[in-house]
Amino acid sequence: MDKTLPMDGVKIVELARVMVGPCVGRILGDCGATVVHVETAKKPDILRIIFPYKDGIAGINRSAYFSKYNADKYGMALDLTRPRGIEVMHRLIKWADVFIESNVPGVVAKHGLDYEGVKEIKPDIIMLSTCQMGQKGPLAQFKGYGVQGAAIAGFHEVTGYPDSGPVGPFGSYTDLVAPQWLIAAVVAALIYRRRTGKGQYIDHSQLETGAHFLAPLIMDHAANKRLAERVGNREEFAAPHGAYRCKGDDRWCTIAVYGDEEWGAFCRVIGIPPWTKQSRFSSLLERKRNEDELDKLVESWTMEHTAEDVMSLMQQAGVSSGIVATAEDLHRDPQFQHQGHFKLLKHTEIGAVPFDNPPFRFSKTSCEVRMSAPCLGEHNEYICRQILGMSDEEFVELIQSGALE
Amino acid sequence: MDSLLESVRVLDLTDEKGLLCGRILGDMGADVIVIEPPSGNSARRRGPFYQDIPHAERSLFWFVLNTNKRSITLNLETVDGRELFKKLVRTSDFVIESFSPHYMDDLGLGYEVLAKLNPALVMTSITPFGSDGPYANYKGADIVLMGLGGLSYISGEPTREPLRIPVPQSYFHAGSWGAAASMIAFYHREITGQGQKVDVSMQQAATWATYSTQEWWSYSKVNLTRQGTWRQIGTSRMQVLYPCQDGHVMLFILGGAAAAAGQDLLIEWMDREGMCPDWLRGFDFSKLDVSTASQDFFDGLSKTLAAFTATKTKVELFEWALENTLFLAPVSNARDLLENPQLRARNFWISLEHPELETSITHPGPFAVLSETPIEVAKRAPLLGEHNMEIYCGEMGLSRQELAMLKHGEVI
Repeated sequence: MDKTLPMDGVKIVELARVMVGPCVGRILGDCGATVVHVETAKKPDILRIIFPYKDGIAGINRSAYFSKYNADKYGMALDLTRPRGIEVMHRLIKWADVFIESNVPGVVAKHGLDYEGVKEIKPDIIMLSTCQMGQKGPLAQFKGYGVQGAAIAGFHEVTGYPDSGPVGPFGSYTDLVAPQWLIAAVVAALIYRRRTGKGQYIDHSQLETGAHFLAPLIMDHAANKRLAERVGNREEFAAPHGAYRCKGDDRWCTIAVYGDEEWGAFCRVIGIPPWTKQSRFSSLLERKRNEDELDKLVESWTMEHTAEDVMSLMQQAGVSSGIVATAEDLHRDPQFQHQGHFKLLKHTEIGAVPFDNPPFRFSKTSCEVRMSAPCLGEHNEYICRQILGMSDEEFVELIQSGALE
Repeated sequence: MDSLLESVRVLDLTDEKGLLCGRILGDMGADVIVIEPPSGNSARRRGPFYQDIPHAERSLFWFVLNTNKRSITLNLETVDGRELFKKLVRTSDFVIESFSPHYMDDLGLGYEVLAKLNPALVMTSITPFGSDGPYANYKGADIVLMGLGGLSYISGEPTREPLRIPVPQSYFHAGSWGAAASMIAFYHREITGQGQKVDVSMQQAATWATYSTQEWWSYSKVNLTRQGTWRQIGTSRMQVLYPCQDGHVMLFILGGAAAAAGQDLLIEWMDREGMCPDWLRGFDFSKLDVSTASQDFFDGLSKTLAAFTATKTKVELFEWALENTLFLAPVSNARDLLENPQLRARNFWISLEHPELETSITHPGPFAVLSETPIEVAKRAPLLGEHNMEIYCGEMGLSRQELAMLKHGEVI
């Protein structure tokens, strides 16, 4: 279906690194914005130089992390330590509606590209700065990644087993909760600018959106002085509620039973073994009181079945359940396949690789990922000639100046 | 205009799966009306509760997701309820809902019907798996969606069950992605005048939070597995969570050019306190290749570091790490977050008056600092039907007698 793109006509330039800033540009790019991603070979984005690489072969254009967050963008290599590099950057700022940067506070200011500087070049620019802690404050200069950010935001302390220390979610979790808020804010700022002519500066702390995702537990301490204990997979008002081992090597399935009706359905699925009729499991209160035993009995059943079978038997009976998906499982998930969640796109250097589509769809406009992530400096010529309108001579001279590195 | 979404109206029909979407739009200045069944939104029944007293007006979970909103009660399963809803739709910009797929269609309130009343309407549906496909009618508890999204499999100890984060993350991912998608559709409507339907899948939202697991498979056919409190570095595993006096800290030791300057200083600090074994004294981290270092080396290092960190507090270690450049971070608990100097300096925690409870309650504040149109979290979450009179009588012109009739007829 030939659909229009909702953000068509919006122009974005990024001096963004790692995940959060680039992810904002990526999604807006999927939705039709023209996004220019500016970087330099002299100090490559860490995402370009970490595993996984395509086929395990290291290379600046082969990294999955960079590709994931930089699809649907034009890539430019630009050395901002050179006067000609800064000059080109100013022209991109003048061209853009939105400027996204995600460096440690103070880095863009060194190049005169803080909001004050940028506003002089383009008075109605919308500028987004996102970093670990926010632009100002006693910890603003903290130089960590979302892996540390997730620990500081509280995710590790509460995620773990009741009988062990903190474990935490894998990865740089605060990076993964932030972009969506910022997309909303940037688009709202674009609408505001259309209505009033005014741009603005958005200062975002990844710690803060992280804290929003744990708000109920933090408020519980503020209001009730309670510090949450680690509860594994337990949920206050459901039982059984957990991830249970299934047939096979490290295969697991989640099951969540809410209320008596679902309990009845659950029991029918597992064939109403005698233990399900015992009074110690007859009500939610009883099931919660005897949950350790309940979990063992549930697992004695799931161990005899594949995770896929458990999921479909439970769901067909109206009980919430799903496999605990490995990476490989994600790629063959029937629902994702139906939605076309993964889309193969040809990358200039590493060939066709799958990209995640955004987690939403529109009825009248498209938001599908369309263009693979750029190699470092892949679109230098396109950006200079087509976007900035440089002449042949000017472009050649720019290359010779060494600014396009 | 002093807010981003001045004069934008949102009708919020969601339950806990989608309430964050409306909170974000409300924080940006939209007039968000949360429409609750007369028995109250199910999120009101979710804890934690203020003073641990379970009550519809004491849920902290409800409070945090509904600041800046107004509440009316309305039973959409009555004829009057549907007519009143349609009347509201005519003057609104967004409808957000998180019912089962087709519930709104079955009520005669699907997008096609509402778009006839208001072609500019953006209608956002937040569902566990999206509105169609083989799983569309499956149930999606948070633990199920986080498992299907891929994060759980890689979170937890290798020999034990995969773990969920004990606050429903998939609901918050879906709500915040819902806000992003809704705003993109709204931008399109600003340009073209055309509204549309937005379909958000919570499973897809959850899979965007899985740290590129999917790419480990598609790029190099690796299924990442759980690594507990350790991380696989090259051929060996390195402990990253360490005990300290009052909890834990996270610490990454790196080698070669990536080695933090503070690593040498840390060894010196340990030595000054008599806690540095001979083999570690003067160790040259710049010559350490973590990808080939032996497991014995990492085990010895971890044991030594853990013995030292156990004698210090989180704050002591973190302050030292900031000064001396070390990849160390405190594993914060709720108290640490409330006392975090950065969050305090940025006035992130705000206090909202709850006169009914004769107290004020700490909430997370603005999600970003905006220069032209600051985000203000000014109003506490509404009481059930708190704005019935204001909206039905004041804004829609119903008489008080009619309101009483609707109440008696269990419409509101």
